[in-house]
Amino acid sequence: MTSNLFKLLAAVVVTILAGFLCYPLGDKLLDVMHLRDSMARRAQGDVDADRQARLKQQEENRKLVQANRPTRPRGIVITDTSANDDWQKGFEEDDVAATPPQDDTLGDDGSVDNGAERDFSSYMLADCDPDLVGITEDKDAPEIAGQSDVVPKPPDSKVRNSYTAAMRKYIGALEKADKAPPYINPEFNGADWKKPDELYEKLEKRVLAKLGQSPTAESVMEYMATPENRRDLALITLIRRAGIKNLQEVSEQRGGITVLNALSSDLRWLCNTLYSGPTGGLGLGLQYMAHIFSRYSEDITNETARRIATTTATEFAREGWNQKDMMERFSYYYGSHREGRLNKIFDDLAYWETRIVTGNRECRSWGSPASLAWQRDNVRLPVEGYLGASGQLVYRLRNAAGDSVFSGEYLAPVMKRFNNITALAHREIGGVCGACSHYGAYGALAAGIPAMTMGEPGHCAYAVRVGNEWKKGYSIYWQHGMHKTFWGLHDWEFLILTQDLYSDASRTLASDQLAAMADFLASKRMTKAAFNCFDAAVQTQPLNWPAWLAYAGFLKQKSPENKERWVALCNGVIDTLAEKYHNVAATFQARYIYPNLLPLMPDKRERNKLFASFFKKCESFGINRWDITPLLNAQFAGCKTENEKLDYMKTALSILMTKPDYSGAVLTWGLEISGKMGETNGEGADRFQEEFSKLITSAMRRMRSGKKDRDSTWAGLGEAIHTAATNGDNYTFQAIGKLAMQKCKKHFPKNRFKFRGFTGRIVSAKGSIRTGVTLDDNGLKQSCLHWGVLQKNGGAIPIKFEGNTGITVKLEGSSDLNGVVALFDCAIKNDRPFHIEASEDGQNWEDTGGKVEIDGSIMRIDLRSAQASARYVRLLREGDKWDTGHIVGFYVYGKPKKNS
Amino acid sequence: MKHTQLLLCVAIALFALLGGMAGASQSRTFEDALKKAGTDKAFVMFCYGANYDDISIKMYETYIKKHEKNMYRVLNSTNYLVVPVYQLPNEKEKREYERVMGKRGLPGGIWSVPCFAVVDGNGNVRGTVQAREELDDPVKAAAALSKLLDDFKEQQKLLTRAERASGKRKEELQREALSYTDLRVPNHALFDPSQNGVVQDLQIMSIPEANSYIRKLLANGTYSPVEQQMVMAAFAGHVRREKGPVAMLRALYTEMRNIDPTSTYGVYAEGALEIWVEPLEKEASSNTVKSRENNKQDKPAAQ
Repeated sequence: MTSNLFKLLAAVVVTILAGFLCYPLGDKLLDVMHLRDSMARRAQGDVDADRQARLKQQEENRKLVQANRPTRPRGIVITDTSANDDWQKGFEEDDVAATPPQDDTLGDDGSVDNGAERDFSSYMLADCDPDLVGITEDKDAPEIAGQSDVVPKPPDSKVRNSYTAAMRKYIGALEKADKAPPYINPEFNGADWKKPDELYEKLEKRVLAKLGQSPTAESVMEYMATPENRRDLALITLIRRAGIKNLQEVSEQRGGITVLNALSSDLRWLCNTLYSGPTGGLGLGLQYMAHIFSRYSEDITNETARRIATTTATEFAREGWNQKDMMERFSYYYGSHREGRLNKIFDDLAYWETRIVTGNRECRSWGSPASLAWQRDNVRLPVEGYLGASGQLVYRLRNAAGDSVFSGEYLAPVMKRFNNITALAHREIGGVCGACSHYGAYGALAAGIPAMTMGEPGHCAYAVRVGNEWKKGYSIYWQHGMHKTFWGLHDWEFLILTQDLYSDASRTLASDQLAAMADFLASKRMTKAAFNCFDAAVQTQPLNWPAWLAYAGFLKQKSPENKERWVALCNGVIDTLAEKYHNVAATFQARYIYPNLLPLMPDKRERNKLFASFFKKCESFGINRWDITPLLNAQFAGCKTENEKLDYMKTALSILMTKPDYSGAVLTWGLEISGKMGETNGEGADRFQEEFSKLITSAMRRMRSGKKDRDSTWAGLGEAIHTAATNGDNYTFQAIGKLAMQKCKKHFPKNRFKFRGFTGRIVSAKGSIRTGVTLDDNGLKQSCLHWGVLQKNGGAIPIKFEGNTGITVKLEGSSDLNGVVALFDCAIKNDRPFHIEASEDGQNWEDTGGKVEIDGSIMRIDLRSAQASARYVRLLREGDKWDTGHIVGFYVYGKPKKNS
Repeated sequence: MKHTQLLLCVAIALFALLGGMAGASQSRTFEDALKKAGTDKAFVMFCYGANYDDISIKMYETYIKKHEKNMYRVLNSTNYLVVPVYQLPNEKEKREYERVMGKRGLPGGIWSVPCFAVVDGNGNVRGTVQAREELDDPVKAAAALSKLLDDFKEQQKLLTRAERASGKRKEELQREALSYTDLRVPNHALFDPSQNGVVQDLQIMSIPEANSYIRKLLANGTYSPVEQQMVMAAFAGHVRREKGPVAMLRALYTEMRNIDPTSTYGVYAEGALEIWVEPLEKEASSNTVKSRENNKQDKPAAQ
C-alpha cells in the first residue's frame, strides 16, 4: 500500500516536470495567429485558361465526341472497320484529341460482305435500344438438323422443373466461387491477343465440342458449373462485344497486352468487366484501361485499382467521353482512395455500384476533379447527411447583384478566382434547385458514395444510396427522370430494379452468363438451344431486364409472327416482373411486346383478357408512383375500330377505376383521349367523343368514396380536374367539381365572403380556372379546390404572377364583362400594378384597362367603362414574381352573349 | 502488471494535472456543455466521423488523444465536447451518440466533419473550423480555433453592451459585433438584397434614384461587412445592366471590394472589375484614340 502511494507521488512529480516541458510547445501554437482565411480567399489564384476559352473548348470536345460516338446498328451487322483508323492517331500524344472510334456501321442490306472482317461489337447484350436488336449470325456456321432455325415451343412448367436442380447447382457453384480466391488461368498470352480471331475460333471449337450438337438448358448449366468453362465463355463474350479489330488495336497499344493478359487470366475480373452493367463501346473501354495501366503499371494487381480503372474506362467509353477526362476521373478516385479521403462505403462497392460513382456525369463542372476534390474535403458527411446537403446552398434565383441564375453573369466574377470550382462558387453565391441538387449529389459522389441527380417536372432533385436503399433528396414530385441509367430508362423503378438485380449477385451472374451463352449459340445458328438458354436466363433471374430485352430481340429476329411465343413472353413478364415492378413490366409490354403481338391478336376479347391479367397485378402503384399512360396508349393503339376502342376503354376503366391509386391517372388519360377526339373534325368524331365522355363520367362514379378511400378519390379527382382545366374542357371540369363536392364535401371550405360585386350575373361559375403554378403532388391532389374558387363558398388555387403567367378563367361562353372580384387568402402585394386581360380564343389577349381597387385581400376590377367582351379572362401582375398565397374566390360578372 | 499499473497512474495524473492547470475540461454531454457555457461563454464541439471517415479518425487521434495537452493549451479555459458522428449506426453506436447529444441532431452550421465548432450557451454554432486547409495542419487548426475563441469573447462583450445600450450607440455596438466576419451573430438574419426586395426595388429606379436609395439604406441599417458588400453588389449590378457610366462602376466595385477584400463579395468585386469594368475601359480608351485619329484625318480634309 505504502509502496503504491510512493509510486503515485513519484508519478505526480514526473507529471509536473513534463507539464513544464510542454509549455513552450503550447506557447508556439498560441503564437500562430491570423491564419484562418475565408474559403474564398484560400481559393483565390490564377488559372491558366480563360473561362470563355475553356467553355468553347468544352463545347468543341463535346461535339467531337458526339460526332464520333458509336452508333447502335440494327439487324445483322458485319463490319469493316478498317476505314476508321484515323481516330487512333495522336491517341498517345494528346489526350484531348482522343475520341472514341465509330466501331461499327450498319450494312445497307444487312448482307454479308465476304471480304469484310468479322465484328461482333454490334450486339451488346446488356445495352438497351428502343428497338429490339437481333443477333449477328456467323456466316460460316453450319446448319444443324433439328437445331438451326427451329423455334421451340415455349417451355412449360414441366420443362422448367427439369432444369431446376441444375440451376441450383450452378448458382451454388457461383456462390462458392465468390467466397473462394479468384480462378486464375494464364492460358493465353500476348501472341494470342495479337490474333484475336484465331483465339476466338479456338475457344468456340472448345466450347461447342463440350456442349454437343443439341445442348439443353440443363446441359448448359452443368457445363457452366465449372470455372474453366465459364472462363471460356467469358472470353468469347469479351471478343464478341469488344470486336476483333478493336482488340487487335488494344494489343498493339502500350500496356494493352499486359491488361489483356491480366484480364483474361482472372475470371473474377473478367466477369466483373462483362457482367456488371452495359458494355457498349467495350473496345474503347479496353483501350482506356490499357492507357490507365500503362501509367499505373505497378498497380495492375491491386484490386481497387482494377475496380476503379475498369468502371471508369467502361463508363467513359459507353458514354462516349474523352480519354483526358477519363484519366482525370480515374486519378481523382484512385488518388483519393489511396489517401484515405473517401467514405469507407467506397471500399466495399461492387463494380456496378462503382460505375455509378466513377461514371458520374458533368466531367467539366460539378464532376471536374477540382470541384469533386473541394466537395470531398469540405462536405464530409455520413451517407445519410448528403440527403440534406443541398440545404448548404442559399436558394437564390437572382444573386445579390440581381443577375439571374440562368445567365452567364450569375457566377462569372467568382469562377476564375475560385479556380473554377463549381461547388464552391454555388455555395458562396447561391443557386436554385439544379445547383442545390447537384451540390447534394456530387457531395456524395465526391466521397465515393453512389448518388445521382434527377429531373422532376419544373424541378431538379437527387438520390443517394443509403445502405442498400435509394433515398430521395430535395424531391417534391413523384415523377423522377434519373440522370444516370444503365439501360437508358430514367424512371425511379428502373433504378430500384438495377439495385435489386445486382444485389442478387450470384443469380444475376448466372443469368447473365446464360444470356451470353444464348447469344453465342444464336450466332452459331443453334436457334433451339439459344431459345432454351434465353428462357433459362430470365427464369434464373427474372429481374434481368437486358436478358428480357435480348430474348425479345431474338424472338423478333427469328420468329416475329410466332404468336404463341410472344404470348408466353408476355405472360412470363407478367408472372415474374409485374409482381413487384409494375412500371418495368408495363414498359416492356408497351415497348417491345404489344407492337409485335397485338397485330397477331385480332380477337378483342383475347386482347382485353391479356391486358386484364396485368392490371390484376397492379393493386397499388408499388415501388413508386408511375405513369400508366404509355401502357394504356400502347393497348389503345392495338384497337382498330371505334367499337374496339370503346370496348377497350370500358374494360380498362372498369378495372382501374376501382383501384384508388390508378383511378385518377386513368381518368386523366381518358380525358386526354377524349380531348384529342374533340380536336378531330367530323360527325363520327363528335359522336365518339360523346360516347367517351359518358363512359368517363359513369366511370367516375365507380371511384370509391368510403372513409378509407376518400383521400385517394379526392386525389384522383384532383388530378383529373387539373387535366380538364388544362384542356379547357368546362363540361368535364364542372362535372368533376360537382362529383368531388358530392363525394368529398368535407374537403371544401364553407366561406361566407362579404364583398361588393358588380351588376350582371357571375359568368365564371360554370367555367374553368387555371393557374401558372407547376403543381407538385400535394398541389395536384388539392385541384378540386380550384373548382371551388369559382363557386360561392370558395376554394383555393395557388397563385404565381410573373410576366404572362397569372390566373386564367374560361367563362361559360363569350360574355360582355362588367367587372371581376378576386379574393386572396393574404394581403395583396400591390407594389406593382395588376391588369385584367380578355381574349376570345385564349391565344390573343388585350388589356381591358379596367380600374383596379385593392383593399387588403380583396381586389375589384371595374370593367364597365372598358366595354370588354370575352370568352377568356386572365389576371396578371407587372414586375417580378409573386407566388406566395392563394386566390380563394374569383368571380367574373357580366352578361353572356346570346349566340355564344 | 505492476508496470502497467504504474503507467496508468502516470497517464491519469498527467491528464488531470494538465487539464487542471490550463483550466479546460471536457463535458460528457451536450446539455452539460450548455450549462457550463451559461450566457456569455462558449464551448468547443469536436465532431468527427467515427465509423466511416479515416481522416476524422486520424484527426481524433491527433487532436484529442495523442496531443490532448496541446488542445488544452489552445482551448485555454474553454470547455469542450467530443461528438462521435456515426454513419448508418448500429444500436451500440446510436446509444453512444445519444449519450452525448441526447435526441438532438448536430446543430446547424456544421457542414462537414471533422469539425471544431464554437458553440454558445444557447446551442448556436457561432464559428467553425472545418475546412481541409486548416484541419490538415495542426498548427493552422490550433491557430484558427484560438482566434475564433478570442474573437468570440470580444464579440460577446460587444453584444452584451449593445443589449444594455440604446439608440445610435446600440447600432454602433451591433455593427462592431457584426464586423467579426468569421463568427455568426445569433438572431441576426442575413440581409440579402435578392431576397429582401432590394434587387426588385432597384429595377424600376433610375441610377441617381438608386444611388440615394442605397446610400440611405446603408446609412440607416445595421449590416455586417458582407451584407454591405451584397447591397453594393445589387446597386452595381443595376448600374451595369442599365449601362451606367464605367467610372461609376469602377468606383462601386472598388468601394465594395475595399470593405473586405477577402470575403466572397470582396472576391466578387475584384472579379467584376476584371471581367466587366476593364474591358469597358479598354473599349472606351480605344474609342477615344480612334476618334482622335479620325479628328486628325478629318482636319486636313476640312482645310
